[in-house]
Amino acid sequence: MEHEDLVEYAVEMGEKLGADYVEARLQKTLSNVFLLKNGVPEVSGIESSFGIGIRVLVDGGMSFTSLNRFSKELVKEKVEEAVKMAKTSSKTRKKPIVLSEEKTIMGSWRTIFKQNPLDISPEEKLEALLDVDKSILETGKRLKAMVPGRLIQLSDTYIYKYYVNNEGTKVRGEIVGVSGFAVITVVEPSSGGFEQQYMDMGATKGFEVLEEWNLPKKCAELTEILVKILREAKKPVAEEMDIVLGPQIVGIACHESVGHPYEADRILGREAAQAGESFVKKEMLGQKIGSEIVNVVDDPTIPHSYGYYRYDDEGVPARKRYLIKNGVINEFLHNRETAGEFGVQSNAAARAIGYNREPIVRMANTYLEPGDYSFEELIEDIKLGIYMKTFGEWNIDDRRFNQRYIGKEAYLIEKGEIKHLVKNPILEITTPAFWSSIDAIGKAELMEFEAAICGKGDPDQGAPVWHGGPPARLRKIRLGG
Amino acid sequence: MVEADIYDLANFIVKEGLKLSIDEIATLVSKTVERQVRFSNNQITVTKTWDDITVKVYVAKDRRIAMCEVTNIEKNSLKENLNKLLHVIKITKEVEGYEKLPDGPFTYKSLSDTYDPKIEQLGEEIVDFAEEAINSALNAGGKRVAGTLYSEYNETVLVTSRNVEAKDKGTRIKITVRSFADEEGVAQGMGLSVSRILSKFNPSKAGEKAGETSKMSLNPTAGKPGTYNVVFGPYSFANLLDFASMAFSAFYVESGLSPLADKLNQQVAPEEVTIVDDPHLPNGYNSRPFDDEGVPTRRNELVKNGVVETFLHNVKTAKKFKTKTTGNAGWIIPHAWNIVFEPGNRTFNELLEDVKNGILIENTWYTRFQNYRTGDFSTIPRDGIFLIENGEIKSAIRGIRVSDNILKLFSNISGFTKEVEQVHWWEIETPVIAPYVAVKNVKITTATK
Repeated sequence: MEHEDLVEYAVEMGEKLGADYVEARLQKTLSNVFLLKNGVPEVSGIESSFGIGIRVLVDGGMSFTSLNRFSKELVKEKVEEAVKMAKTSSKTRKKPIVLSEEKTIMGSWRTIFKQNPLDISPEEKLEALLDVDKSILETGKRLKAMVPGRLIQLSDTYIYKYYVNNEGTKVRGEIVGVSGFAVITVVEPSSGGFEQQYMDMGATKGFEVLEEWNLPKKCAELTEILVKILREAKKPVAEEMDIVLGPQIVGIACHESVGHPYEADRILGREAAQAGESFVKKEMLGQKIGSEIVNVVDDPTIPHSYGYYRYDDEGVPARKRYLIKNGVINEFLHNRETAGEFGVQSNAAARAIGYNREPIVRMANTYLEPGDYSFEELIEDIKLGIYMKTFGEWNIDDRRFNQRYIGKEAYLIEKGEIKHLVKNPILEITTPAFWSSIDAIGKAELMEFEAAICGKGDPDQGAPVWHGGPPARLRKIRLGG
Repeated sequence: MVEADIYDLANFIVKEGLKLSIDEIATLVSKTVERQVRFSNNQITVTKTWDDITVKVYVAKDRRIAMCEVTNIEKNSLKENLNKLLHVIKITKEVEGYEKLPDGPFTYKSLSDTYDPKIEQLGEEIVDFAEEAINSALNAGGKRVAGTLYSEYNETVLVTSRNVEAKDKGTRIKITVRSFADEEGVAQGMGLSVSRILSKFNPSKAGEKAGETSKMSLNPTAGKPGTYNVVFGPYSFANLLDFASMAFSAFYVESGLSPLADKLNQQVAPEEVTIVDDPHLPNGYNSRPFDDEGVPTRRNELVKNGVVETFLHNVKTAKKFKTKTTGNAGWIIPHAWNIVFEPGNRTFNELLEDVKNGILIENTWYTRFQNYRTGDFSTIPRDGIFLIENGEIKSAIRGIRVSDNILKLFSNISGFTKEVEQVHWWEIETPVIAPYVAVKNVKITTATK
């Protein structure tokens, strides 16, 4: 790739100016975005960014800079400025930043795909969206319901990265990905009631993924269920009951109440002014947080996953991380800065979403490991319960202790059988109670993942992730309200 | 003066675009020099500097449109992207309710207090502002202080093939200070200072507010679910107004994502409530004299005496809604500039006395909607949650959630202060000027296990 010489020049320049550590990352991102609003192409667009991000550590102070004009003079100027800023900030530190020691790597990686999205014509991409819209409208018509809100987006992305640091590590990476997004609003003509749901898809794959996703079918099913919720869903009862959560809710809970609070930078307070801290403290490693059958993993190495990578943005080889093992807090997510503070090795959680962003601790693909229950076995002994298959609204406090998920597609379970739809059941629960209430987990074939863009950092860095798992059963829960 | 390089770049793009036999083209070129200091645990975590040029291009041909946003500003790359746009535009479909870009030239209002050379010239000394805020929070009772400080110099040029040439330059500086008065991290407080000019920037005051609030939040008891009269602080109410500002955008109205869709000319709040979008606000964090279509921006009353007066439009949404642009383009999505909730006549203490018994919520985050069309949502209070008893702040509470409907909340507003604050931070996209606002009968929930 052009301008790679400037990356190496930036690292040389940083060393020459006295930086203890210096890294530079050239990153080129090309995206195509197609957006359809209510059946009409709202916009077709291209996004392209290309630049160099540089980070220096001087006397224990850290500074980051970026540029998108390629000249030796500007690189020199920006590195000089970064070194100066790092020195100034180091004076305020009582404890210098020390990075974990990691092996020197000469590596490269890329995602495997069949159909390069960049080779697919815009016509084909637009047609794919129009097919989805048609399918939604036909479903609405068949069910005699209106679907006045249909926002559908299809994007594809190509990313090239070249990372170099002054320890000798050099890593090249190429990522190809496709993502889809839909928000569907259904109206019942007789009552004027509204139901609404969104859907996210994403994978590091070529355009062949569209066939696997079958978005027209998925969106038609979503439309149909929204109509059914409008017409059939009944208010849930308020008494204590058992709840079976579908993969989508298990996944978001893994992400929000395990992944985030186990990010070591949050534990150390580095994100305190924005996304907050964590109820999990350093000394809680080894403490019980859930039932023994609970194993929660974050794994960047799942091929074709939305959060896939082989080396993180500090050049550390990616690996699977057990955040909770047998119900016990097992491992936190680290970059080299937090690993240095904890006295451990980095487990390759450093990600930066663009050339102009610093690498920070992030999740990749977070999930609950499967158990051995079939879906029928999960519900067979439930006298009174709810099966919350999907959710709409959710949130969690900034210490990741008190979370809430409102069921969208949710059913009453009575005497071991799925009955009618229930309207907006609310699970509002603390994190230890959530993971300790699980007494049964579905088997591997029931596993599903959902794509999402995870927000963190300042400026915000929206990182592609997956989260998921099989369905799981929680005992003795009282619905919130 | 805006630097010649981005002005020349914008004209180069328009000239090259017109060579491709398109109907019209607009380009928005921005140069931003930005500095950031992030701090946590009472020390600097990282400093950052950015020096970027960003180019956005809009092209239209045969009632079809395509756009690009690029940071690769090499001329060959720009030409290549224009050619790509031309290809995309040939195969895309006609835009419903297409309207051409407005014909210029226009005259733009000169804005006050939006540029300060002292901010443009700031260098490494911004670290001192961060230290000032940290020390102030510690002196006020904080034990651990975290935050972010930004300073920015920005130049923006808009050139369109419809005879528009608009230029703006501005500066910004803001700090978010978050203080914790206990080890557990539940005694929290936040303070902000948001300004376009250095003389109105006060990091010390932001630190003091954060430190004091965190100290007041010590030893919180568990909040109880129920229906309460709530006083929302400027930060928490700004969070709700930020979402409300999206609801006024005609794009979201049309997409089925606004609870205001059928509320035009209807009463949505008590008569005392007036909410304005003011792009000319002196020292307004997002004040700008022109929108992305080149139309001069103007002050729009969104809610006047409790009644919804208008949605926010660009020329295309305006055509679909059979009205005129409000000067809020966004080529695709019209958006607000600075949301201003007009001040009331009560002091903070008088407002507490009016409410008598209830809850004071200084800040919220993670606002999520179950249904954007109906407005059902919840949000999580933080950075100071207090019980109000007999018109006074009694004690801190924790672990509560506001679980309600945004339309109901606005219709239940019972009073607001004359003191207002400009709010813009990580959680808030559109700058908001908000008072303390009292709302009756707000539903509060807690975890059941």
